[in-house]
Amino acid sequence: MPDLKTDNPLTAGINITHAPQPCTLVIFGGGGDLTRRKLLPAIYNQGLEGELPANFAVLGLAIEKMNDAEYRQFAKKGVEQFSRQPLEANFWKGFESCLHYIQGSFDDPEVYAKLKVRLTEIDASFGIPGNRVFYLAIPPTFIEIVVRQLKAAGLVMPVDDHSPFSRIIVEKPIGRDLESARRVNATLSESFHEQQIYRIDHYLGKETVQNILAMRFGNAIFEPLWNSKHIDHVQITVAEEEGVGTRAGYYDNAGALRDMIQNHILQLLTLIAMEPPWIMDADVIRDHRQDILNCLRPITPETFDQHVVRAQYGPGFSHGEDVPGYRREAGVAQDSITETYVALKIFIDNWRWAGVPFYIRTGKRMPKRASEIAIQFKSVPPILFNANHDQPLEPNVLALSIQPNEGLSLRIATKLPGAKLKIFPVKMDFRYGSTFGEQSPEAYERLLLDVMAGDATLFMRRDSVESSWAWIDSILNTWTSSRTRWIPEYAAGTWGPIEADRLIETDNRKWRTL
Amino acid sequence: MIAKDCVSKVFRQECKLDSIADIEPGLGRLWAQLNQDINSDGFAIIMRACMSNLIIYCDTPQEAETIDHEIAGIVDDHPSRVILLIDNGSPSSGSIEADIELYYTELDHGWQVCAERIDITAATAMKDRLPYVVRTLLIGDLPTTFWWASQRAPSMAGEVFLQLAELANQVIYDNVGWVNPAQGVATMTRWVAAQQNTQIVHNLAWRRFTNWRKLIGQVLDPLAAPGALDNLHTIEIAHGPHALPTVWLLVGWLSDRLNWQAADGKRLSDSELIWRFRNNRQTIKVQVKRLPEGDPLIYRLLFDWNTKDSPGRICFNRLDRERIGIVEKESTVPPRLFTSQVPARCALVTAQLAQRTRDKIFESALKSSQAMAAVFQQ
Repeated sequence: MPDLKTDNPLTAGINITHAPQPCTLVIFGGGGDLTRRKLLPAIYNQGLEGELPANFAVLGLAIEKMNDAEYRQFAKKGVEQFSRQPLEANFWKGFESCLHYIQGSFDDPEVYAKLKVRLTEIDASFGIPGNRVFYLAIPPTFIEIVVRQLKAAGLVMPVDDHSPFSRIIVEKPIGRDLESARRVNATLSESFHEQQIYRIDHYLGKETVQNILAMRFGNAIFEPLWNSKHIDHVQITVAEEEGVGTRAGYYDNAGALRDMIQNHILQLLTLIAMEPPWIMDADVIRDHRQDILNCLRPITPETFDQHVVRAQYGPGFSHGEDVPGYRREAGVAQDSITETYVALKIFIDNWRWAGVPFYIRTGKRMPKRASEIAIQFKSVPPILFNANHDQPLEPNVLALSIQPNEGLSLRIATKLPGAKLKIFPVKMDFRYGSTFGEQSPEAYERLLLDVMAGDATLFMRRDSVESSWAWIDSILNTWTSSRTRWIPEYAAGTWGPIEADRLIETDNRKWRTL
Repeated sequence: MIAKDCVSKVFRQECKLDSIADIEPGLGRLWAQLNQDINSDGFAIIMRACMSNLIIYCDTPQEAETIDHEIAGIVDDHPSRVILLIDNGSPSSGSIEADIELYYTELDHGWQVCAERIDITAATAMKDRLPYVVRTLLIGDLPTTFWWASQRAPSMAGEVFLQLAELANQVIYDNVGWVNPAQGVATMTRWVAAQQNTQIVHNLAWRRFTNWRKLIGQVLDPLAAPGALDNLHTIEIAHGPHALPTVWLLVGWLSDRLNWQAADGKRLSDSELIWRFRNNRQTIKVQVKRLPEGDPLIYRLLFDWNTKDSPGRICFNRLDRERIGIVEKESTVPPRLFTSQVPARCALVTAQLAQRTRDKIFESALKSSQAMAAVFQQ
């Protein structure tokens, strides 16, 4: 029998494994772009769908001068512009009362004293039992300052059964190499237990990414084929249509390898390649993903050119309009050799994936925005329908589309109707949006609820961040030591440089057309 | 010809058939016709998405007319083969008639058929043949859901219900508007108990107050309102006409979860009922009042408790079809507004179609509702 002083049997059966707990979400950088475009719309959508806890509030903290009323206007504009669901005036009236704001500098201890007082007031007004989620939507340079100030102000509670929870969400990038990542992690761990730290990668909140596990381990037909015996190779593409835009300041110091590969793409790779977990538990799944990172074959200087291509976009066209090359973008150094495109050939040295290449490419100013993971199976033997060497059958491909349309497709060979025996590839297509009718929630919506529920499955653990940086560092070091002043160029609006085509064509394969 | 349904984004194409045997060939002809219509000015691919068989039973053509407007909303989210069975009320025997329709939606590069709908209309005297007709129409390899859309409690309907239920993995019913809730609850609870874990049985009323359950659970949580759950002594509920079965289930859920035993229940007037429950410390009074008008919804819910330190009270009011609020004047907790849309019935059915496991909390609540019915009848 439950003890009603501490247990709550009324929540049984309602999202039992995934119930967001009452809390205040404190957003550092609450007046910034990420908050306006992503976080506040995500919270609004979850509120509109009744997914937020009943006892919930938001407190934005930033340098911009605003009061609560102005912050609510700021949030409203963000929702009007970026929410996946239109603003409903009736709902907004009630919802906006949970939004609050404090103006101040992140390094000012008085701001944290004010924050503490304000949080206590909010707790009392909203019936929140002291639980806090701190979202650091701030440049990496401020992480250390904010974390230490939070600790000094007594705003970080210990991890035990009796205290309210304190959780912290940290945006990428976690460092810019292994050494700096270790520093950030060490700073975080001075104040927070690893259990309280949620390193967010919004790619992992996407429906298709989560569906990778469901597809692999919820179907009997794929997993027996999921190995080097049946899979010829895997291609992961993350193509962006936009140029560097307003992010030049950050991007020119980072580049595509740090910006996309170290986090998003390596995380996708681990989900595709991991061994079956024995339970859907955050740490078990993260252990299995970590195993893959441990097995990544280092890229050595001797074989570097066969495995790595970097390039930068030059002038070209986007939607028929002239667009400048990277070095002509505002805020980019004219002699910059920052890569806006990377292609890699990666091997995972374990029993399952021995000898299977994973081709990865990501770039800016590509013909369209598209992210996809494609598993290409081995060809059928060159007999029967595949006997014609001049026109071999297209192999089966299982393609998981991540954006813009989330879904999956399978290419299979079928006979064309008629007296002649003609084989033709057809694509069986499954799209989330059209099959299930309803819209998938935005990645941030799902991930914010996960943090409120204490589920870290889709977040990066310290060891995973550091392992991926260790692997990436070997590439960065080779680039640094080459002392080159030039890197290949590709025209904006194309699929990348010729060097990238050569990287895959050497193996008698080719990049997929998306 | 293609006609656009004004309610949803689903298009429909229909065809009347001469005989039951013509249903499958008729659907084939509709597919061919659709292909021809769509491809008259170019090549487009038509795909078929199908996730379930959905059998719907209506006792009258009027009930079927209401369902007619809901099917598009259901199949838009959960592509299905829909078999709508209608008793036309005629006492004489006669033929069984069938109509067929395709529902389809436009995709980026083609079309997708999201439902094949088959309407079967039979005279009352021919009703016992319906399960045989349905058996031939089910698509294999897909789960089958049977939605009892009649105003009668299904367990009181006899063979037709039992035989159709046998064909399904899941049975959905809705006790809103039942003529005799106490008797309906009693017979339905017995039937559900007899299923012995072989089938999912679901009452839409249960899903209808999911938002209430969430709210109550969170606001009365020991961390948010210390001592409330342990010391509740009075609950007052005001509901609109026809919502008594929903309230009954809600109280059944509370008594089950909080371990209260139903002690007695009686009718105070035409519009008021009272139950008394006991736990190991005190008596809990639940007073239920029907409002003279309104929708079949819960409009007001008040919880009273006493702790050592002070009395506590929370009063929820439904403000409109989108919002529930905590009333400042009548509550000891801070006032707040919550989004809580009154869901359309088709949305409840759609959500339930995706459910593949039995809901043990619902079944326990149903048992407690039965215990409440037992003391009420004494």
